[in-house]
Amino acid sequence: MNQLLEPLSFSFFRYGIVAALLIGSLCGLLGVYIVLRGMSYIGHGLSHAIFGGAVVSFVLAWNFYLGAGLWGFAAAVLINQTARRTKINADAAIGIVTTASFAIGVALISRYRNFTRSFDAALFGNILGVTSSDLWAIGGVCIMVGLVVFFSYKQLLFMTFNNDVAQVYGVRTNWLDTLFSLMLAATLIVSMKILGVTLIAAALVIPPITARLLTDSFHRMLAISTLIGGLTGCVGMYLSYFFDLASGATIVLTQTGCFMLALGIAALRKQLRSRMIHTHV
Amino acid sequence: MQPIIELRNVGLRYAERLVLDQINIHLHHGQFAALVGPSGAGKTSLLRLILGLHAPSHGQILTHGKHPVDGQIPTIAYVPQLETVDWNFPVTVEQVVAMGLVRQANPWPWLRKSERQAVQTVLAQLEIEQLAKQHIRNLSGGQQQRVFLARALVAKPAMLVLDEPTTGIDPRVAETILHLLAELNQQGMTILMTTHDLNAAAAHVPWIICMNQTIIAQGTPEAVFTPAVLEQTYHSEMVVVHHEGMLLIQQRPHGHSYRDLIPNPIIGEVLNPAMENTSEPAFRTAEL
Repeated sequence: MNQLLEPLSFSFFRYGIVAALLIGSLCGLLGVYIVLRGMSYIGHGLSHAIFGGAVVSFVLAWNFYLGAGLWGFAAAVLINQTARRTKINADAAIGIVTTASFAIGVALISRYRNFTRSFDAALFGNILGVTSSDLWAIGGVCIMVGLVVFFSYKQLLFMTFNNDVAQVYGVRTNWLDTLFSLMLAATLIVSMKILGVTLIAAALVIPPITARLLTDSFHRMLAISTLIGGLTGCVGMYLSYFFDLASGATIVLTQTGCFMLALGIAALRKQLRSRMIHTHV
Repeated sequence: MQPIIELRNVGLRYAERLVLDQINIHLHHGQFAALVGPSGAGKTSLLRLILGLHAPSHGQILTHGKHPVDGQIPTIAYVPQLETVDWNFPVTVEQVVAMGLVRQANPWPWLRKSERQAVQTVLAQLEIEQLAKQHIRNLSGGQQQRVFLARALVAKPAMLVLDEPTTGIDPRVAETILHLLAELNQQGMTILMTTHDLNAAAAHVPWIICMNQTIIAQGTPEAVFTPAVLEQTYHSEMVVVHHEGMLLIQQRPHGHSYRDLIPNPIIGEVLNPAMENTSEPAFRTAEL
């Protein structure tokens, strides 16, 4: 028990574990909608786009959250509109918008060459460098996303299930789509410092996929995915402390372990079910 | 009486291509109509116009004789084609049906008692109440169609729009679904559906709209299902037979008949195992 409490005596770890818990839960919750809408690639792409925004805001000496936030939101809306209004598919739109944005970031870095450490942190995350203002930002986004998901639960469910039909039944899908893009951009921005551009996508996709393997119910999937995200965030932080590993990567590996376990449980369940059917026959 | 929906000289263009032209339709309260036409005729585009998912490139769409403004649009419930549904989506029958209540202003994620009751009532009406907790993937084609019909009905719509409700299900189930729609129509529901099944439409639907980018003809099945109208609609020769009070429509095979082909290259004739003792070739039953 003392061993478990020991890391909590360090303020960097306390901040880190709270951040990992909140970010893990947030990505787990929002990831359900992303995975079910078949947009798994958007987390990966948009985080790269936001990286471009982060670099631009650094160069222009803007506030990170404001610069990267505006950039990320604009990229998400641009992807949505390109996919809706042109012949270009969503995956191609994501590919074009996000890689171009990432390229702007890389080009600016190669031009200025004076923020290598920030560059590394943005790419791979630096959970141990979490400040109290980062925690406030994460908490704010968690509350915003939580409230939107709570009060738009039915509309979001219908829109995720079938966008066009939801519109016929009175769901304002355009408005909700824009709100979703805003939530996603905000989530990615507060997650970027913690998990890094390269690992955010995993945090958005692995918990919901794991939850999907365990349940056939939407609200249970939301709960399980959020729980897995938060729990693996905490467990990953402890493992990274005890084994001296990079925290972002350890969190993602913990989630991967969880996914493998769920895969095993699902296979076992299937086998048991088919055995029961055979017994009855 | 003003029609629920009226389309006046409506046209639709997709990227400079004229998809629909000179569409004039009016559907009155209590009407049951079927849109028929070949693939690519613009049936789904026309439905999307009526559902408000597209704006017409020209012409007018009126509801109750007026231009629709927010709050005055009649509630239209839509039953999509089954093949457009993601059957692996984690939802139960009850949850899908409850989606139909989304218009009602209950901001909480859970259903109120009255909403739960409304869902139960419509499930019972369609005789699928025992499936409420089932995942949608575990249903038969007919049950799946009933679930989406239930979602539409729970919304208490002024009009029901169905996109090919009999596609992908066997003829017996299709017959049941059409009976169900006829019953709903007898209770006063206005229904518009698209279908490729001309015989089913002739047997169950009292008003037929033949279209191919524009309206070719509309009227009762007897008036519309004529070789001339069908040829103009499908650009193909159709045979119409009146038999025991039924209208039977069949496309005339051209080029070859199945009689020109060998039934089975190895044994020549395939025997029906059920008729093995009689040595009656199975394919002969089709000739009767």
